[in-house]
Parts: sequence; structure tokens; C-alpha cells
Amino acid sequence: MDTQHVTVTVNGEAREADVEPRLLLVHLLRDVFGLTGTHIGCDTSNCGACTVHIDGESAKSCTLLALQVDGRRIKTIEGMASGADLHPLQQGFWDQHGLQCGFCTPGMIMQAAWMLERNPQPSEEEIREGISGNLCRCTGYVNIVKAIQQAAGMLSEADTAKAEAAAQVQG
Amino acid sequence: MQFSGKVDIKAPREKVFAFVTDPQQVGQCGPGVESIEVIDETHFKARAKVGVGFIRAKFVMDMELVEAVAPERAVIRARGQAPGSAVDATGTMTLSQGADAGATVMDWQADLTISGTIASLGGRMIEGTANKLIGQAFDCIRSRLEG
Amino acid sequence: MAVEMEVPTQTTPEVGGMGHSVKRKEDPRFIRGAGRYIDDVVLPGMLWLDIVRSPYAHATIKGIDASAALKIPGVLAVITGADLEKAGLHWMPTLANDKQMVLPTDTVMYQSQEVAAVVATDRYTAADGVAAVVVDYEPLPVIVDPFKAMEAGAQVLRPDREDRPNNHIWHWESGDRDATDRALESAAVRVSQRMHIPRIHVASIETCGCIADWDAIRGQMTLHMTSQAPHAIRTVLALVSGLPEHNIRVKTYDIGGGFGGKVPVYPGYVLAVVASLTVGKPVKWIEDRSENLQADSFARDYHIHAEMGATADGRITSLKVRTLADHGYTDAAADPSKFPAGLFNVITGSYDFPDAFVEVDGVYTNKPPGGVAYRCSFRVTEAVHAIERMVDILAHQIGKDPAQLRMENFIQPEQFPYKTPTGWEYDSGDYGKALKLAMEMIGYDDLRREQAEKRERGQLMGIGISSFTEIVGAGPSHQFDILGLKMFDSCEIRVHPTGKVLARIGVQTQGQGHETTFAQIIAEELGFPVADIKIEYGDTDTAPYGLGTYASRSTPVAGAATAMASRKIREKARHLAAHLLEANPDDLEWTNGKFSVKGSPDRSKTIQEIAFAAYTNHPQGMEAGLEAVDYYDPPNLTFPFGSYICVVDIERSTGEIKIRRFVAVDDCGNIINPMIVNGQIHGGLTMGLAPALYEQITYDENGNNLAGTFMDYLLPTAVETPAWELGKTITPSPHHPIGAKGVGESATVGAPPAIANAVVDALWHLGVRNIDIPITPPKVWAILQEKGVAT
Ligand code: FES
Ligand code: FES
Repeated sequence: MDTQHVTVTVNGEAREADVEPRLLLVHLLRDVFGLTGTHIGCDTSNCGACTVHIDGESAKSCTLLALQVDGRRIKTIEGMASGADLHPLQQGFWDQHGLQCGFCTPGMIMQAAWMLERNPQPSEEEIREGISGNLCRCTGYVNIVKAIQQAAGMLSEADTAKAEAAAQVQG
Repeated sequence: MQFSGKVDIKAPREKVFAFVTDPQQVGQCGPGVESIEVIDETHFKARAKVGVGFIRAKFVMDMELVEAVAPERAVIRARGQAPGSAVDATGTMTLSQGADAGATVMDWQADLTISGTIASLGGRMIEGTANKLIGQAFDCIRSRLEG
Repeated sequence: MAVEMEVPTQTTPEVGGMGHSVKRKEDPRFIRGAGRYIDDVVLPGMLWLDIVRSPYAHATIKGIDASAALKIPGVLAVITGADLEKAGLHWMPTLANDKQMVLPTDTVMYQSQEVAAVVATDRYTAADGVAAVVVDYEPLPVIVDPFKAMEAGAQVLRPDREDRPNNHIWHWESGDRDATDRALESAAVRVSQRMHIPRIHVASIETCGCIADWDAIRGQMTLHMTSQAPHAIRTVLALVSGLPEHNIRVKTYDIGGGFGGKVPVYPGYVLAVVASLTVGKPVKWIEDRSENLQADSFARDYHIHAEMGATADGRITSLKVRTLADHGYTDAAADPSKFPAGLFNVITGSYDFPDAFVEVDGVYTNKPPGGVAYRCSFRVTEAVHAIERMVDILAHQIGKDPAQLRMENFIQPEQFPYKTPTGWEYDSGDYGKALKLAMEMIGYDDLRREQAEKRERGQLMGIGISSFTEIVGAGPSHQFDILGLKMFDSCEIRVHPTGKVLARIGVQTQGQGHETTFAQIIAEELGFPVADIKIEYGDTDTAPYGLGTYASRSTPVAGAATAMASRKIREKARHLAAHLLEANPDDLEWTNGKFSVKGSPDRSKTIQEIAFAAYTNHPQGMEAGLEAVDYYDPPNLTFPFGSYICVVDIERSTGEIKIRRFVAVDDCGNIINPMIVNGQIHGGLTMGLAPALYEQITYDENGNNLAGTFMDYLLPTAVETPAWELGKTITPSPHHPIGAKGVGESATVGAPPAIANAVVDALWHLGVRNIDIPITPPKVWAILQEKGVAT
């Protein structure tokens, strides 16, 4: 089959490939780029295991074609930590036992990160609503909710600290 | 699944009968039919593209005119497959003299079994879709005969 | 509000032995997306396998035309039943000693059955190949209903099983029929009920898959796969294929959830093996979700009729249960060989009464094989549902509070070990204590008052209880085997000279956290910090033989093996310490990870010092090194239990059920890691909620599976799942080396009847006695309309 060229930025790195027009984004990430942290759990965009960010928006990579993201910025679970420093959500999931088999976890973290960007102090109900497109078969969600709450707290503390530091510099 | 209905056609019975027993003609009215290949007088093959919900499938159908009693009754049996799916259908058409001279009443019955992916994934949408497609087929027969 | 209970500990948090909520050692890789699941594995030269599946639930295959598929560039081979037949591989044994087609040679028996396999260079081309294979079928009549399958004159689905005429697979019974009949006849109160526990699907978020890698030069077959029982797979593969077992290596990776669905051998695995043998390259097969939901990993499907006898004031005297078990076209249930209906006869539950009789008949139908577990130990969920529903029906029938009736019928703590009328010996329990705690946590009496007031006003509120007893940890090898393999389990521990530990176990984690909890057992027994202990499993070339993880058997069996192997090491360490301290071994005592001379605590050697000596300074005549292996054969099963209380409100305008609160008090004996135990219970409760309210695999009259995607098979999301409230009691298992009982499945077993009882409790006054699960809004809505209370 004929191939076409795609160029994307993945986790800050420029990547390109010649792909069949029918190749799904999730397969581009996993099979072509070897970024296997993004998982596949269904064929119908119900489970959210494949959630990534495209230009900062959460998206299910199993229902997009690779060609549709040509020229866009993609972030996957592999891009969440900076070196040894875990993202507050990664820390939250670990501290609160927000994962068991870990298969849903990357998608959950990506979805939660997007949610917290739009709503930094969500209520429990808003958290549950916000991750309702991501299925977890192991945890019963209780500890996932706690993990996201912990991360929300850490992120807002970090923000306050930043704001204070900025204020001091100015003052 | 069973469906039935009645269509009033402003055309004489002989003409209607000739139409529904001619693969090339009646074939044009099958849902999503893209091509017809006549094998012999009573057998033909149809290729059709059908969608149920989010699934789209290309079927290859083997059709057989199993009964033809001119000018009142015709039975067509169809069996076809698309990858992972199958359809088995029998359509019975009974033609009677309409109220007006030169008009025909067609009573039809369709017995349809859908198997595999389409039945499984199309789930609740199948019955409605099938009903609609069959209805369209008989409307098509009418309009072609009248037109 | 959850009641946090103090779990006793004997080690410091740094050591992290039993009772500490040690953070999981496996998590750093998962939270970074660095877990390694089967579909993440890529081998050089790897090919893809995809499967042609039958659209018909029952049909004769008249021909298969692969010519168009083989013309597609990149399609390398198409394998059919005829090809397998030449190698004698078209049938394979099931875990229940029936046989299952790998590929059919003449007849397909269920919709989506494997018909042919296509091998190609990548997954897209393989799928193209599948679409191009043309199969000529002649449809046959389909039997979906097991009752129809048993009718005289019904079409025989398995003519190859002449020993099983009339689609009847087996009859199994337990207990005393005559005594039970007599007790029922003389009972002052008799209640009976039919119920159906429908077919459901484990739906782990990762589907099944494997890579078979045949190395013709070395004569070595490596099967990389998602399996809960890798050693059993190796042995079965050796027996079926004739390859020597030492040249077969089964290797698992991180598993994205198992819940029983990854215990059996499915045709796809065998096809990948055959394909790799044929083409001489690694061949990968990964199911997609709709294949998974249509072809494998099914559980339940029991049609139960139960009858209970009691005295006028509600003392249970007897229970009789008849059951039809729909197994699909072959009996592939993952049950121990002597127990075709699993441990279903644990159906007398937490109650003390003398007479019980249970019978089960297995039936063939045109469905895929069922009967793997769904996070439950061998048919225990069906049993618990039946007894807990019956107890509630009895209570309502005689107008007694269901909690009170349970209290009055519980087996009392002093009656343990307790022999049930169907032959089990319960190890320990205090059922009243657990129920009492649950009632306190939820405020039971207040809720009953509120319910009475609401009922006056026409509002529908229900309270449901389930006081279940589980049966796990299979099991004693004189009773338990699968295909002849005895159900012991194992652990091998090696202590390195610098005091670091490598331990390998015969069980297989699918998210339970074995890398952490098994390290905690060793930390508890030997005093090495958890951080210094590495746990390995899932590679049959290195791990000791074990039967795998399912039926909550890891902690009861392999956990015991780990404690026993640790104790062997400690015994050797005592002799090494005696040598180092120039003392008599009997004069040494073991505390906090060191041996010291009784009476002079500063004359001591730590376990790390002893480990070093084992390689550098061991006494003459003693073997060097510090290693041990243990194969543990449990003397009995373990019997975790619990009491759950659920409060529901029913919306009269829609039939929607809202779970307002759900309190779960569990007793799983001694606790290794409270955080992990709670996580297991949260997950288990959610997999109990699922079949109670949402999940069911349904078939139309032509045998089409109508729940083939997550759009129709409804897993609970975070929105439907309530905020579970947990409590604990601790009643150690007296026969288990560390007193633990296992917990992974209790909640899945215990939760559904609590929910069903709550819904029926809300509607009993309208004349509703039972609603079969899943209790969906349309079912409730229909009842509300029939009773004239819908608004
Ligand atoms: S894999 Fe994309 S939503 Fe399930
Ligand atoms: S941790 Fe297993 S699916 Fe969420």
C-alpha cells in the first residue's frame, strides 16, 4: 500500500515516518516509535487506555489516524516525568495505590493531567466525571480519585510557591 | 427476524411478475447493490455494501429464484457473507389483482437471519436498519415499475 | 466513613514485614509507562497472526478458499483445520478433560469460533488476509437455551462424545438427598426460588495474546504470553505438541489484569505455536476487544433452583439446590478435576444447619466455552449468591429482620473447625463480629427507621446484607488437581553474600502486587528489608513449578511456601550464627533480624552478617550458601469471610438504582499489606457491582453474542462506582504458616447478593421476591409499572 509522510513532535522531540494512510495514531506511537506506554484496551474508544495529549488536548489515540496529527504536538506518558522527578500525578498514583495491573494507568494519568489543567481544584464528583471515559478493572477507582486529589494538592502548592517566589522577586 | 408489508403498484401483474423474477431488474432494488452477475435463469450473484450503525460491510450474496408461479408468486432466497458476518434471507412476494384495472397488490414477507459481527456489534440497531432497507427495496420496485 | 483498624506489626517500617502498608515495588515502571506487556514485546523478524472467525453459531463448513488471501503481498500462510488435522493438532484438551477445537475440520459450534489463521508481515496485512478468506458454510439449527438442549429429541451437539448423550455433560451432587428431603418435608416454613446467574466476561483491560518463537536450530520453543499459570501451560503444551518439556519455555510479562480469563489455553495460543513451527519465525497473536468479548474468558451461567426449610421462628434446617450449568459447546471450565461444578457446594454459607443437598448438571449449547472464573474461586460466587438471596427471602417471608435472622443462624466462633453438611471443614471464623461491625459502621437501625418513614411516603429505599463465606487456596493435593497436576505451590529463595535476596515463586501476579507482598513475607520471616528483596516469577526456565494465580490461591499457597522456605533459611542461619558466636544453636534466640545468645543480647549476629558468612566462613561439614526451596501442600483450604451492607434508593420515574452507601467488612485472616488488601477489596467490590447491575453476555436466538464491544458490555466507570467504605476483623487461619487467608476475590463473591438483596428489600412490600442480576433500570422500571408505582 502507498505510504505518506507524517512529521510530529512527540514529548518535545521531532519524529517522522512514512506510514500507510490507514495507520492508527496509537500504532504509530507504539509500533513505529516504540513508545509502548500508551496502551490499547478496546476497539471502540470506550476504555481510554490509549489517551494522549495532542496540542495540549486529551485524545484517544485509537480512534485517530496517524495522518490526522501531522504537524501536531503529542505528549504521552513517557513525557510526563522530568528525568528522575515524577509528575505529581505519577507520585500520587504511587503513594495512594492508584494502580494494580497498571494497564489503565498511563491513560488515566494523561486524562487526569488534562482535567487538572482545566480544573485545578476538582471536587470528588468532578474527578469521577472527568475520568469516566477511562476504564479500570482493578482498583475500583477509590484510590485513583485519591491519587488525583493528592496531585491536585501538590500542583497547587507548587503554584503558590511559584507565585510567592515571583512576588518576592518583584517586591 | 420477520418483516412483511403490502405495496400497491400501478402496473399490471404480468409486468410486476416479470420484473421481480428478472435478476437484472429486481437486483437493482436490493439494498446497497453495486453489481449483479447472472449465473443462469434462476441463480445470480449480487455485491452489496450495507451499513449498520458504525459498521460497514461489503456482502457477496448468492441469490436463487426458488419458486416462480406466474403471475402470482415468487420466492427468492439469498445467502451472503461479508468478512465475519453472514445473511440468510427468504423473500416471498404474492401478487394479486389491484382494485383498479392494471394495478397490482404485492404482499411481501421477508425472513431474515443475520449472523456474526454485524449481528453482534450492530446489536440493537439491526432490526430498525433491516426494516428500513427492506422497505426501501420494495418502494424501489414500485417506483421503477410505475416510472 | 472507613474504620481504619490497627494491623499488628513485628518489624520496623524500614524492614516492612507483615502489616506495613509498604508502597509497591512494581509501581515505578507502571507510572512511567515502562511496564512491559505482551503487545509491547517485539522480536526480530516477528510476524503477525490474525484469525478468521465464524459468523454462524452452528454450521457445516463446506470449503475454505484462501487463494485470494494468499495473493495479498505480505500474507505468508493460511492455516486451516485440515492442516492441523495432519499434525493431529485440530483438537486440544480442555482443563476439564473435555476437548476443544483449535480449528474445526467440519463444523463450527459458536459464533466467532476460530475457523482459519492468517500469518502475515504486520497486523494490518494479517487483517486484510482474514477479510479475503472465503468460507462456505451451511447453517445448522442453533441451541442457545440449556433447558432446550436437555429436551428429549434435541439435536446432539457433540456427536463425538458418545458417552455424553443428549447434550448432558455430567451430573454432580453433594450432600444427603434423602435426609434433606425429609427435613424439607417436615419444615414449618419452606421457601423456594429460581434464579439465573448469567454469563459474564472478565474483561481485563488487556486482552489475551502471545508470541510463539520456534528456534529450529536449538529445538527450542519459547512462548511469550499472558498467562496466570505458565507452568501448567508448559506441561500441557509438551503433552499436546510432543515437544520435550525442557525445550519449552513459557515466559510471561506484566499482565494487564487476569481475573481467571488468562488461565485456560485458547486456540489463538496454539495457532501461534503451530504458525511459528511452520514458518520458523516468531509469530505474535493479540486479540482485539471484540474477539475477546466474543470468544473467550466467560464465566458463570448457572440456572439455580433453591429450596430452604426453616422452623417457624427462622432457624434454617435444610437447603436443596438444583442447577443447570451452561458450559457452551465444550466443558473448558477451569475447575479442579474432582469438582466439575467447582466448590459450588460451599453453598451452605455462613450458617449452621444439618441437612443440605446440591446437584448440578452440565449442558452443552452453541456458545463458546464458559466456566472460567471471574475473580472468584471455582463457582463460589454462584453459591454465595444463592444462599444469601435465600436467607433474605426467608427473613422477609417470616417477617424477621434479615440481620437478626443471620445472627441467629451463624456458625458460632466456638464451633470451628466446622464441618458443613456438604463436607467442607471451615478453618476459622467469627461471622457475628463482622456483621455487627458492618451494622455499626452503616448505622443499621437508623437506616431501618428511615426506610419505614420513606415507605410511608411512597419512596423506595432498600437495605441489603450479604454475610458470605469464601473458600480459597486450592488446595490440599489429595483433593485438588487440574489435569492431574496437584495444586501445591512453591517458592525458592537465594540469599546473596551481601545480604540481598532473590526469591522466585510459582504463582503469577496480574496486578496483585506480588513483588511487594512476597518480599514482605520474607522480610517478616528473615528480617531483610523489603527494599533488599527481589521477587521473580513467570519464567518457567527459572521459577519453581507452581500452578499459578487464580482462585485467590497466591497468598494461601505460595505465600505459605514463601514463609516455609524462609524458615528453612532461618534454621540454617541459626547454625551459621552458632558457629560465628561459638554458641550452641539451641541457646540462640531470633529477634528483629538477628540471632543472639539467650541472656546476653549484645552477643549477636545480624542476618546480613550470617549471609556473608554462609559464603565466606561456613563451618566444616556444612554446605555453603544460603538458599531454600519449598513446595507447599496446604492441609486445608482457607475460608475468608465478611459482611457487606448496601443501601439503595430507587428512582420511581426511571427504575434507576442509586447505591447510596456500601460498607464492606472483610476478614481475610492476618494481613500482609493493608494498603494492598484494601485495594484488592475496592477492585473486588467493583467487580461485584458490575454483574449485579450492568454486565451480561447475551445471545440472540441465532447464537449471536450481543455484547461484543464495550458499548454493549458495560463495565462500571468511576461515575457508577460508589465510594466503598471498608472495615476489617482479623481471624487468623489456624493452619496457615502466617495465618493469612487470601482476599483478592472475596468482594466480588460477596457484593452481588448485598446489592440484589437491597433492591428486593426496597420492593418486597410490593410483592417482589427476586430479580435476576444484572438488575438494570429497564427491569426495575417494568416491575414498577406492573406494580403501579412508577411515576
Ligand atoms: S483503546 Fe482507545 S479508548 Fe480503548
Ligand atoms: S490498574 Fe488494572 S486496569 Fe486499572
